[in-house]
Amino acid sequence: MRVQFALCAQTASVDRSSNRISVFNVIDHVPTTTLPIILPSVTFVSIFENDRNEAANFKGVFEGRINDKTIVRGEVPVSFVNGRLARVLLTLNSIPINEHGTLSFRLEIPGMVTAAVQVPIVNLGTPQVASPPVIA
Amino acid sequence: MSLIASIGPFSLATDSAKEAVLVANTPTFLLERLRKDVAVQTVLDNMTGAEIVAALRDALARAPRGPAELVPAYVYLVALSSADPQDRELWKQISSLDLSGLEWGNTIRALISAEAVSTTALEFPVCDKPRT
Repeated sequence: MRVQFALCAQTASVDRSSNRISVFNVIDHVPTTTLPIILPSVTFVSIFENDRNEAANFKGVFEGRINDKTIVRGEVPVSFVNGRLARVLLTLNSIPINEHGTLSFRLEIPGMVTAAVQVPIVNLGTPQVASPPVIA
Repeated sequence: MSLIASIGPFSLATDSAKEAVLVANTPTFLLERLRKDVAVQTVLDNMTGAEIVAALRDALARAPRGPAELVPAYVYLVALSSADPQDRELWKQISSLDLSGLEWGNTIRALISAEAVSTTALEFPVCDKPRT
C-alpha cells in the first residue's frame, strides 16, 4: 500500500454525479500577524492506493498537532471497496493557533503506511521599529 | 410498459439526451454529456440505485426500433455513475448487467466502475485548548 497524495485545503467536495473530488484553496502555510488566531476550516485530503484489487477495510489513526501538542486524535475507517483506491476527507473546524511553528496532520494505517502533511505557521508580525540613535 | 421511458410526465428521451446519444463520437464524451443532462438528474432525483438497475434491465430487454429508443438505456446507465461505491450489492448487480445491446455500454460501465472510489468523509472536533 502507498499514499498517492496528501494535502490540506480549506474545503473539498465530492461531485455527486461523477464521484470526483475537488479541492479548494490548498493550505501550504498559515500566515499570522498576531496570536492567538482561529483557523476556521481545514480539510485533510489523502488518497491511498492498495496493491491488491480487492475489497479491504482498515482502521486508521488520525492525529493533528501544533508543534508537540496534540489538538485532535481519533480513529478513521479506510475502505477499499470497489478497486485499488480509497479516499479520506477529514474536516476540522475552528482550530485554535496559539503559537508559531508547525501544524501537522498524519493518518496512519498501523504497520502499513502513513499520510502526513506539515504546514508552517508563519509569523508575519510587523518588525519592531528601531529606536533612533541617541546622540550624546 | 411504454417504449418511451418516463418519470411522471417527464420523458427521459429529452432532446438534449437524444442529441448527446446521436452525436457522441466516444463513450467518454457521451458519459460526460449525459451526466450533465436533465434526464440523468431527474433519474437521480426520483429513483434509487436498485430501481435504476431494474429500469435499465427492462430497457435492455426490449429490442430498440431506432436510435432514439436507446436513449433511456444510456440515461439509466450514466445515472448509475452516482451509485454509492460502498454499496457492494448494487455494484454486483451493475456488473452482472448484459450491456451487449448498447454499443458503448461495456465501456461506459468500465469508466464508471473505475471512478467508483470509496470516500470516507468525517468531521473531527478540535480540542479548545491544545494538550500535550
